[in-house]
Amino acid sequence: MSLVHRQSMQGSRPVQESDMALLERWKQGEQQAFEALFTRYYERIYRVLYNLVEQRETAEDLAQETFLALYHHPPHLSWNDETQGSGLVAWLSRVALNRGYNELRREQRSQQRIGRWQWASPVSHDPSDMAMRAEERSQVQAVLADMPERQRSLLLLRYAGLSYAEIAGTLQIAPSSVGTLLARAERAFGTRYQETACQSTSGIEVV
Amino acid sequence: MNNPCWSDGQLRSYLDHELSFGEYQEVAAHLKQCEACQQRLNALREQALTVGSLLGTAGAVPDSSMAFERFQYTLHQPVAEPADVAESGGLGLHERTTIMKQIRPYRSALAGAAAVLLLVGLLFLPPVQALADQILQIFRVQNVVFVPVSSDRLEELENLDFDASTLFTSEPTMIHEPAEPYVVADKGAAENAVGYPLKQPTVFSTDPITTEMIVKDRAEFTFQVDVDKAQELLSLMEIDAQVPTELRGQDILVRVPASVKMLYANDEYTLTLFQGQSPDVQMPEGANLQEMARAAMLLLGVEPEQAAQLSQNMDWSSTLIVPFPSDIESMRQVTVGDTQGLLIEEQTESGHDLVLYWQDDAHFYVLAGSGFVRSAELITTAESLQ
Repeated sequence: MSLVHRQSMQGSRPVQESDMALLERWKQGEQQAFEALFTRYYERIYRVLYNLVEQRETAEDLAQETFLALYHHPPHLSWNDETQGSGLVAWLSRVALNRGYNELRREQRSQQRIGRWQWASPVSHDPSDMAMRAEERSQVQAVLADMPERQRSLLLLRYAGLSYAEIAGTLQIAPSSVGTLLARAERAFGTRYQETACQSTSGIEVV
Repeated sequence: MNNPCWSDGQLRSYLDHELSFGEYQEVAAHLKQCEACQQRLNALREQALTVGSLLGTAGAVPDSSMAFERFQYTLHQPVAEPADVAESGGLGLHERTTIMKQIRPYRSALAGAAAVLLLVGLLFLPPVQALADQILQIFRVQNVVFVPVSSDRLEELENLDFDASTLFTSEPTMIHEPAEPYVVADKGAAENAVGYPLKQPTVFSTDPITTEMIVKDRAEFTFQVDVDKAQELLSLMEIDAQVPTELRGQDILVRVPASVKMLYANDEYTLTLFQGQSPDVQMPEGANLQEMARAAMLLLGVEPEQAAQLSQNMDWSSTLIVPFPSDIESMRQVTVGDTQGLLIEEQTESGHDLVLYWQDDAHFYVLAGSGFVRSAELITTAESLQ
């Protein structure tokens, strides 16, 4: 398999350049700087989105859109922002969350997502939607959907691998409150997940 | 307060190593002598692990450099006219499709393969005997298999600890990489894209406000089955059937024709009409399709005798698999025009979901309605297809 040849990543610098520096270089029009940022944050952004929308393709599309925003409208960040966690990750995460929530609202409106009737779509063959994981995933999503948006975002960000400072920067809360809010959100999530798990197994005969 | 206990928030931060060094040391020292805090810490840890096991599993995260290729592709792609996209998804394999090939080959191939997996009976199906029987009776002439999937069964299969992906010996080989699903302007454009006549509803209970047509490109690929793994699966499920050894090292060719999704919605309802053609599967010469079909029937929970009978009555090279949740409330046979259809109804929190399946000749239709839709109205809409 011949991959499209790309130069930039091979010649990467021994010391990681800061987001700020890359961002500045990107603003000067250096494509490689943009690519470096893309590669640096794609996975985290994808993870945030995947847990939000629960669909691989949608998550990928939204991640693409998020980076498209960075491509066309790179934010103005100060060193202060970056050192305090509200740097580029926070900015990207906010864009991603906004788009993700918008997408969910849009779907809800058109009721396109007809719950477990997804199967009825011969048009959707996403293997990650496959029956195996589908049940658990939809339960996770149901529980998340039930939570206040902020708590939900907090979990999505944390489990996408953001640091407390980055989470605080994204949600614009005090960094010192992240631990408390996180513990609370996890407890709420755990309790609700247990509840729905119980509901869904009751009333079904044992094979 | 001397030697104070730490808050949940601080303990939680401790777990994530998100405390300052000084605080971290203090907490660590405190934990050594405070059983209560130690217990709370354990509870928090357990809680975080649970959440992590549910949220930390985004499946395979797309490779970022692949994603970047895709990004560049979209970036340099003018907002394409539908016909344009259809063309690039067609047989002319110019540069664009070559790039697309590298970007998403595995997923879509696996996706298609997933549908076929059901067909060859290598996937796990629940033993909802009566239901399966009933449906197979209705549709056996037309070669449609509805696959009920119950949550219990899923759990059971999870516990089997069998990795379905190992059923393939390698990544499927794409012959035609489908383009991303795309929106087209009208029926004519959709027909051009899929290459066969389409129908659309003309009668609605109330007029739709929004309509949308989405084309899903055709796919063509080959894959190989790991015969030993498949056999292992059958024995795990205590199914007495043989996976044909002719499959060993041989390509299975799958063609999934293009399909179309039409969406009609207003404040009262959302109707989604899917139409397409059955996938075509070509097995290696000598492979005993009937035996595989029989294995599939057994996995479905059909009685052995009947499984044998049914497997012989079907043309397994052109069978459509439609999975559905087994805990639905009502399912009945209805008449759509002069053909038989299957109507499934379910009460939901937000109202009422209906799904109607029928087909004519090689085409199948699935009309799904949610919101305020009565079954009679749904059938009327189905009958109004032109």
